Amino acid sequence: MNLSNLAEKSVTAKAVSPALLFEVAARVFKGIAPGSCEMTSPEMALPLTGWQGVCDFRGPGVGSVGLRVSSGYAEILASAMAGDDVAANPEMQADAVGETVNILSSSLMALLYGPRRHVQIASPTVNGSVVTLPPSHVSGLVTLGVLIDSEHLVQVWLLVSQDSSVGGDS
Amino acid sequence: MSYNVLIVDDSAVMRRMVRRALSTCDVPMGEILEASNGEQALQVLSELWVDLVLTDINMPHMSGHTMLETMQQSNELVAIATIVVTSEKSAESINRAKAVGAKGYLIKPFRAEELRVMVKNALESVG
Repeated sequence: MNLSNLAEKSVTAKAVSPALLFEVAARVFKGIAPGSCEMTSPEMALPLTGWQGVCDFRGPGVGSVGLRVSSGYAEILASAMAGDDVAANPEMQADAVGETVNILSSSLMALLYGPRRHVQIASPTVNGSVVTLPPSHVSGLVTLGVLIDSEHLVQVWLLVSQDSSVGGDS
Repeated sequence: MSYNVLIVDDSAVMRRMVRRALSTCDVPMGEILEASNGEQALQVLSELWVDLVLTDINMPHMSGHTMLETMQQSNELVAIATIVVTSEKSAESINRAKAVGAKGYLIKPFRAEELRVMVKNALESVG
């Protein structure tokens, strides 16, 4: 059994800073498609074509994890997962973005609530329309931008609207 | 002797990722079959001989856990080697998989090498 990821220390939702969210997101992105990751402002403009993937979660806390990526980066994700021959296929790109946000959600839930608390993560919803980020003043929202290989921008957010945990698993 | 493998995942991208990793395994592969949920997988298993099942956990219609528990209760399916490939990393999920005899639990994103080692070990353990 691969239990190495369970060693992550849990933190409260309030303690998730953009830097910590970046650390988790960068680990997920590099795990799927190796490349350099830099943290940037979430307000940087994305190209008009791209994908948004969201996973809602429910358990000790309630909220969502979201990603917006350019078509170019969606193609990189699809290529890394499924191969170059299908990477230009929009269905494969959408599926790859969905898998990526699902993996990111699982990593964040383990960090937030620890391995012993059950969190139900809904199937990802992915769409290709241009959707604005949640407003930055919303309580419990952490957003950031990740610049990958100095070329591809990804916007990431974690929204915890209710959190009954007191630090997760100990 | 070659081994038939069933990949169970609701994501087509992930099924292809697993299939690509399997294609580089140094064990002889027979037919690589696919299903998009536990229910479809059980249907395949009722019709075709499969040596190894690689399954996701969170899927519509029937989860990987329910499928593995159904296999565990079936005289015909209990001997099939199983490996979980999922982003679900809770202790509860890992323990549930262990309880029904899963040979491995691989957390996404995985490296092809990790999958190859797990597949080889699982197939060797069932002969």
